[in-house]
This record gives sequence, structure tokens and C-alpha cells, in this order.
Amino acid sequence: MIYYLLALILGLVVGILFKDKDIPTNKLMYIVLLFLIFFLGVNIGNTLDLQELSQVGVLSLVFALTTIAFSYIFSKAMRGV
Amino acid sequence: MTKLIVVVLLTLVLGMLVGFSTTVSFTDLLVELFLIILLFVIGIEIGRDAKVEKFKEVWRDGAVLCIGTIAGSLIAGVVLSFLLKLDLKLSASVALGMGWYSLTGPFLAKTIGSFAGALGFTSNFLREVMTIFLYPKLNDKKAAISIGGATTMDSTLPIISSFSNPQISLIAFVHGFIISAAVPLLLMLVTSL
Repeated sequence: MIYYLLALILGLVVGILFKDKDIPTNKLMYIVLLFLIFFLGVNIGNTLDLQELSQVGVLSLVFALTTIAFSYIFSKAMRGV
Repeated sequence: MTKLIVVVLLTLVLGMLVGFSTTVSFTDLLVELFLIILLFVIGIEIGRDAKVEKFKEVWRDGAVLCIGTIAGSLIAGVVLSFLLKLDLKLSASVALGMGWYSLTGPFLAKTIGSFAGALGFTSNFLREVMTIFLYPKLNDKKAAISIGGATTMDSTLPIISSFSNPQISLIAFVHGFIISAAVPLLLMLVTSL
């Protein structure tokens, strides 16, 4: 977690220092994102235990969908307050 | 936008197929490395347009979303407990895992039992996977951060960054950071009741 924070802060410092320089961040971000999403997929594929998932599958799906729906609705409501 | 969704989803599915067919031991390290690079690049984007008001706004939005995420997850757990006639402690603690399956699964297995552990692991794992597929579809990109729970500072951040802007990415990071700090405390609190 600390490395993530440090990377973000270092990026902020670099961004502030080189405010007027044209750094091609959009292209870089796109390339990094694709690599990241690919390896995230590999990670998910490695972690997914189909046997365990089939045992509590439907209940897990209900929990995942309900928590997602409630979190979205509550956050939307909170932002409106 | 449609092209981007297709590219992102194809890349993810390709990665999942590779992950299913082979066991690659160093993906954790690669994900962490690319995540660090991504956060560095997001930092540069934000830094180039740095204003104190913007940072204040990011923290305020992050904190507000956290309240929505925690309240929404907890109430979802309570509602499911009544609807499905499940133990309230089990239901609330599974919901309060907020996407952090690697912590929730083992923690609940140890404190409540193996069924709670399996349910905690799989439902929070599905929450992460569904965030990847649902985030691009939701209209309110700021409120939609909350669906990712604790994962918005790492595993779902790339998707949020792909379909929003650097400022929303930073809000997602702040949100994920606060939720990641809150999940262990909330799980300890709920399971000790």
C-alpha cells in the first residue's frame, strides 16, 4: 500500500515540476492499462476455484449484486445531499 | 468508448483464459508493478493541473463515497439476512468485505466457520469481477466508484481509469484506501458482536 502512495506522490511532484513540458501520459497510461488488465485477468483465472464457486455460487452472486446495488444507490444519494 | 470497452474486455478475457490454462506464479508481482506505474502516471496527470481546491474536492468526494459504500454494503447484508433467513452476523460480515476477498474469506473461515469463509471469498471475488464489467455501463462515474469497494485503489483502478478521467481515478484511489483501512476494523467489530 505504501508503494502505491509513494508512486502517486512522486507522480504528483513530477507533474507539478514539469507542468509546462509535454509528457505523453495518455499513450503511456493506455499501454500500462492494457498490460495491467491482461495480468489482472491472468490473476483472476489463476485464483478462481470453480468447485468452491459452484458450492456457494448462487448465494455469492446474490450477495455481490445486492452489495453493488446498495453501495451505488447510497453513494448516489450521499452525493446528492 | 465502445471500442475501448471491447479492447478492455477482450484483454481481460484473454488474460483469464491464460490464467485458467496455466499457473503463472509471478502475476501478483506484475500486477503490482504495473499498478505502481499507473499510479505514477495518474500522479503526473493530476500534478500538471494541480490546484488546492481540486485536492480538497477529491478528499471530500472520496470520504462521501466511503460513507455510501459502507452504509450500502451493511444495509445490503442486513436486508439479505432477513430475506434469505441467514444469520445476521454472517450476512453483515460477508457484505462488509467490500470486495476484499483475500482478507474476508480466510478471516470469516477462522472466526465464523468454513461456510462463511467460502461465501465471504466467492461473493467478494464476484463483486470485484462484476465491478470490472459493470463500471463502464454505469452513468454516474463518481458514484459508481463505490461498487468496487476496497478494490478501487488497486485491481479495479485500471478499469475506472479507462472509463473516467484522472481526477475520478484519484477519488477512486482515496476511496479504496479508506475502505481498505476500514474493512479489517469493521470485520473485527461485526464478528465480535
